[in-house]
Amino acid sequence: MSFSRETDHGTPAAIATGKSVTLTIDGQSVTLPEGTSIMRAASLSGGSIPKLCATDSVESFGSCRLCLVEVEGRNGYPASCTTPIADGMVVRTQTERLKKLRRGVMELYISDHPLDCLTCGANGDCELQDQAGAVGLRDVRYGYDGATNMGQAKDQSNPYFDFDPSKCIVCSRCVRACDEVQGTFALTIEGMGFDSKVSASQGEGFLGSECVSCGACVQACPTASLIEKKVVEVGTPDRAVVTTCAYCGVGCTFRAEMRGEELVRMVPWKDGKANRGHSCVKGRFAWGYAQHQDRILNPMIRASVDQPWREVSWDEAIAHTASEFRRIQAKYGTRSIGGITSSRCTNEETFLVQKLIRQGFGNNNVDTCARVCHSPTGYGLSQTFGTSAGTQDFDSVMQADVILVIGANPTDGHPVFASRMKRRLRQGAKLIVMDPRRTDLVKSPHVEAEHHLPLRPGTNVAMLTAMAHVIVTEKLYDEAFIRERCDWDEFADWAEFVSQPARSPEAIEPLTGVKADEVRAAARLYATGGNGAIYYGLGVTEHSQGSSTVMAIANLAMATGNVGREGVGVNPLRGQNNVQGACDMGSFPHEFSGYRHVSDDATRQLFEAAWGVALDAEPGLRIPNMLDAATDGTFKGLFVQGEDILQSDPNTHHVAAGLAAMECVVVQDLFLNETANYAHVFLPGSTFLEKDGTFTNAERRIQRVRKVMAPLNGHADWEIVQLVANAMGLGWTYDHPAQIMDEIAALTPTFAGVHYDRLEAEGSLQWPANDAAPDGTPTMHIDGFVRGKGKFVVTDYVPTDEKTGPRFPLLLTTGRILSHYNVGAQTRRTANTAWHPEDRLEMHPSDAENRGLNDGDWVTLRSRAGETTLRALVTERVAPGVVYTTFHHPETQANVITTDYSDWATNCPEYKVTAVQVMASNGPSDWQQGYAEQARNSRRIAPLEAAE
Amino acid sequence: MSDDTSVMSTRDRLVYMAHQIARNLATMGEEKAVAALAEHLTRFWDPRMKAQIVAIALNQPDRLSPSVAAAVARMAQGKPAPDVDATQFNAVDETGHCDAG
Repeated sequence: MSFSRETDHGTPAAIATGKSVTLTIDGQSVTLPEGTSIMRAASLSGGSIPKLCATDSVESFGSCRLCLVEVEGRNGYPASCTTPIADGMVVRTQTERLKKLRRGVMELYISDHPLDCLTCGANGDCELQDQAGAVGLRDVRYGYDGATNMGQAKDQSNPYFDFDPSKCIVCSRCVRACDEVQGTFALTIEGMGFDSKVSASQGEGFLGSECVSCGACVQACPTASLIEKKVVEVGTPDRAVVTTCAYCGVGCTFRAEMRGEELVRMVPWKDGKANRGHSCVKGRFAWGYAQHQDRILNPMIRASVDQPWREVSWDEAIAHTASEFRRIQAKYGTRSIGGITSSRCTNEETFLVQKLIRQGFGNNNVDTCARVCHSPTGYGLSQTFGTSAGTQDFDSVMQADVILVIGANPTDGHPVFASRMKRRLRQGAKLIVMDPRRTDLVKSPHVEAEHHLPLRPGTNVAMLTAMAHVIVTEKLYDEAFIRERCDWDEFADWAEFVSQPARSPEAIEPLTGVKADEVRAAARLYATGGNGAIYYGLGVTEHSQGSSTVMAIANLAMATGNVGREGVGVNPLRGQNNVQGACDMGSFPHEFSGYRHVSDDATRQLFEAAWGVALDAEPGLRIPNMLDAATDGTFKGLFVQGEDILQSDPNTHHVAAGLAAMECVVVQDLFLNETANYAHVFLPGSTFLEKDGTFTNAERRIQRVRKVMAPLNGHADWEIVQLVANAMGLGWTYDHPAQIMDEIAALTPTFAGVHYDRLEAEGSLQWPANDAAPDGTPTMHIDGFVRGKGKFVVTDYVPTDEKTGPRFPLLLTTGRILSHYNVGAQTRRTANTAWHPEDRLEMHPSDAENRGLNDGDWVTLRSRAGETTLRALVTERVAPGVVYTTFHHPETQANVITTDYSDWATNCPEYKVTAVQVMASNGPSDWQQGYAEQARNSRRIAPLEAAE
Repeated sequence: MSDDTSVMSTRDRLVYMAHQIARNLATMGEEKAVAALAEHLTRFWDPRMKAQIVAIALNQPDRLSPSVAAAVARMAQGKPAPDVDATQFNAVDETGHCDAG
């Protein structure tokens, strides 16, 4: 087994001009793109020029003077990192003079560097060490007795990496990585000359600084000055496996660098087309949950939820599961059970769960977590464009001129994509943010929105229609595009609707609370500012008019001709890592994989032929309807893979009542999550590190997940589903997920060209990938909309029925934070809790003052659905009248507050609008204390001897 | 929903959902909206939900607005209008349509 680093060409690829130049490097003729540095050219042609301050993730800097070269006809020794190649140039990279110069430079570096290589954490993985060898350094003429920077105190405040200033060579690679790659600008070089040193923010420790712990600085550091604690603890890796992150819909690919069976570090893969070598704190560092002591590794069953769990063999657990489901169906009917697929599991696993339900349960009672996040995206984009997915790849943002971010907080929710977006903004693209909160994008270092529209929660449709009003009445629409690509009559109807005075920015100002002039200016900018790209998140979908809002967004894009090429489009930022894939795989109760309705005879017959059974032509239950049916007594059994609906779904009391009414709840998960409090069978799951498969990210990009270690629980999740299926008599014979993907491809036209050998060869594929698009489809709707003509849909503003009033005068909106992911089951079991140990309630200073509340006070948060307590965070990030919290911690259970109101078309919950009151509190509520007690009791595991 | 409770019975919820869908389709005009609502219920509601709303239409007709009642009747007759504007997206084709993302 071998380990090698990814090649570092020293400087980034040149910006494409289409021109190339030919030069000679060390006697070899080389032709490369114009603008390429000599350093990169040498590397690409097989050579290697010594370097320290250069790395190909950041622009050249020219400070270390180690990469000097000789260029015929030029005086001196130019730095190869800052010198572009030119036609006819003759370069020498290895001469006696250069060796002497480089050795002299290295002597100076080493004279002020600890010579503790044998005990250094980076021994064998240190560029300074490598370059000392490369230049043949054997002695330092200056000795080691002069003034040095050695012996300085380490900053070990960050839970994942250390900063040792003694080992810093002040190359600024970390500072530039923070600026250029991450875009946070948290690091700087403090002091001058000999006293220069890297500093986080204003001389703070890394943990307390503005550093977001993305790790770009650690990756860029050429020494052990910034080094992962895990490397120090375990040692340098000896093998690497490329795999895909299991957090968020960006879908970053990483090299999982291993030492034997132990994961040492996750290093973002430079060839990853979603992340381009970058990462966030979650993907790079927060994987410790995989080995957390809370993981359940043995199957367990119990007769009722008030009993302790009893550990059993896999055979007994699987047989019991199958027996219970068959018993329930025999007693209550075929449609009395169902299941929930996981957006955290692979495409193959998700496909198998819905197959288990359709083929084995004999019904369509399957749903997935997209029900509570992006279901309106599918509905809205299907209506208007004809396909239920975003239109672009992530690279597209680099061609955007105006970026409209609606109801999304990408620096927290999709941080790696946010870094790319901020890079484009620093290049000059304009930004419009439509969000009730003043998110980081509104104003952060070197990024400031031209327009922030802090609209009142629940008024998205009114706001977007007002923007359309401006575009239509001021004739800013793209008539040629509309006439060619859309139904003109439908456009005319829509234009007539939005032109009505009642839709004007002035008319809706009292609803949205946003100045009409600002809305008009934003609309003009989007319509006339060049390539207009819309990115949106759950602030769009999680409303009673989520689907209408998505359609309103699509209307704007079509009206302005911003669809069908790079730099434009409508881009939903997906929440969980495989939420796109889970939807693609037929996780919804009305459709098979590839979004084909179960009532379609031809499609159903295709699956019936493949699976050898008759399939139900009626749609099944959505998650909230399953819970309703459970309380009604017609739905009695549920198989839940990798979801925690008790914590993540709205109105916790309703979810709990539904689960409590069932006779058999089977939870397959890594941990005893909140839903498992109501479970009768627990099947231990496997992490993304322990299995093979694929994830599909928000770009529709299908990427491999590769097993890097054996599953601690003994089985990959797809194997567990197969065990259940076979116990129910289905006779599945999969040996590897590749076979499952072959079945998906055979049954799903958009995936027809997706096979593991293609993924290995291409790295990734974006669906549709089939005979019509053999290499996949980075940009949708290029020559025409999937549905034919783009459809303008009239979206009338229908206010939510969730109303504020004297008892509940504030509006609560919920969301997430950078350091945590969804219900926090994974990230709460990592050191990420250092940044966010509890959910806090953000409230405006005026609202806090009116209630006599101070920052950090315990407060009761009460809605019509329930109440909880948490501590206040007084901040102007939220507007007066609006409060905000996250839902990462079960101790808070933010969803005990949220209501059953949901999107009219899809039942996506209205998480973003809940009328609440906030008041002072002394601590956790009675309900919270009761819940905590119940959860403790529910998680009891009987000692083995007692169980026997 | 009153200030006192957030709990709806399943029947109340189905009535609420049907009317909520109807309100959002209203701009289509009565005839198309009725057809679109019938189609929506047919394609997205599970059989027991359909049966419950039909039972409500039969036993408690005052709970349904005329347009919702008409849509429920149309759905119950099994004659949702094909290819109405609001539901064209449900046609089956290679690139797919769905109500979720």
